[in-house]
Amino acid sequence: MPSFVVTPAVVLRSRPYGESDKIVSFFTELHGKVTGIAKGAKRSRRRFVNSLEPFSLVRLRFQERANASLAFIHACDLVRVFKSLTAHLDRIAHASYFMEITDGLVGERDENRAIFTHLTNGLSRLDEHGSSLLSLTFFELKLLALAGYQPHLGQCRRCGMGWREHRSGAWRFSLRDGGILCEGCAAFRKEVLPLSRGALGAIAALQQARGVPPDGDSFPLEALGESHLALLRFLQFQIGRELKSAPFLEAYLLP
Amino acid sequence: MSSYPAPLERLIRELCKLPGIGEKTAARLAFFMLKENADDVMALADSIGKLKQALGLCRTCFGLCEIDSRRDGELSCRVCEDPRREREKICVVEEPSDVMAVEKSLEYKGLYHVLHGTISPLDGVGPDALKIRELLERVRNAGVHEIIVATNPTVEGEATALYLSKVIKPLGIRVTRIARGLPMGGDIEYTDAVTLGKALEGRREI
Repeated sequence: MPSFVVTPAVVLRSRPYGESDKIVSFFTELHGKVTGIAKGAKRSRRRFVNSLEPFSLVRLRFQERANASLAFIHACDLVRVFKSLTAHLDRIAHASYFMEITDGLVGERDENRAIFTHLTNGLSRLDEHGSSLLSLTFFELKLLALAGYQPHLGQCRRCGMGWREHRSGAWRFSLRDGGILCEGCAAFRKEVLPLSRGALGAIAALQQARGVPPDGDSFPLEALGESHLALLRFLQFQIGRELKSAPFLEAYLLP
Repeated sequence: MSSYPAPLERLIRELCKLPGIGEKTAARLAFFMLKENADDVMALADSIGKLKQALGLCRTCFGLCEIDSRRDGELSCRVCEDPRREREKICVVEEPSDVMAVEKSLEYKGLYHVLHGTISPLDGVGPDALKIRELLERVRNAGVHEIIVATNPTVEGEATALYLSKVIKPLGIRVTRIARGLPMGGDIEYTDAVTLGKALEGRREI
């Protein structure tokens, strides 16, 4: 019989299943994404009380089940509640988006401690400092990189021309190529988005930042907005579907 | 299931569709009905059959109401029609069953509004999918002074409460949220940190 596993985890999403059960997806520190069934979770006053709400940091105790894709969730203890996340609509919108893109980009049991740290840091920042376009774009870029989908924005993906060296000409972001194309090369591609030099500069600076996003005053809002839209489209392309939380996020992009 | 006679098998199959009913329970229920007298079974079948025909949604609060055939199918619930209810207060709930729960408390004498769901970004449910536009029309046209938001204390319930506060407060109407804390007969020692925190946050002078 498989033994219990105990690991810190973030609740990505939770949905009712049947009369009293819940199916819950976690991003765990030690085992990547784990989706499991929490029997009696809707009624439980001991094993799951308040600990299966999205955005919660918990200590998860689960067991793998033979020939079943869903793990068996034994118990969940609340480690940290990001209290102010649920006190502001814009923070709920941003946190929901964080959960959905993390859920979409990683597969079950793909262990990745760096993503766990990035996710908890992102939620902490949102909880303590509120939402901003800068921290949103930073979260998207770092998550893409950590999940193995880092967009390549230094040179044209086809001819190798660098955008910094060539001052003239428009640049496009190609979803299919996972990076930028110069004007000439973009003419042959569909699914391309215009990307200004300001946005390219902002993304390049954010890609180099480690741990925390750099000072927010150094980036024009327009450049960040443009970067976010390109990354949103890229995320949707990689995940393979429209993101459900995106329209709500667009309505509350700024606090 | 093939070992059962066809009418019994059909009933078991239908009962299996009910929440929390598996095949064994469905079979037990079916055999129970088989043993009961015919009048009782017909009464059960009749009440199930009339459930959808005789019940509708109140056109004002969107709670459950009986369709009044004497009044040309008028859809108005008992609470909305009761002249003794306090018409300046509206309690906003997620589902029709929540109306019954609040009514059981015997503490509330105002009106209701049922949203039929909550805002849920992760499921792609926005304000337009709920009865929020209808609530705003009600609030603008009637002399409402207070909206009591009684959605569940979940992320979705909180998102809905925050949204309602955002769109209703500018109309000059008080928006309140039901309190959260310890249940009667509960024990502080065994209460989880979040609930205790909320209870302390919402403490009041005695």
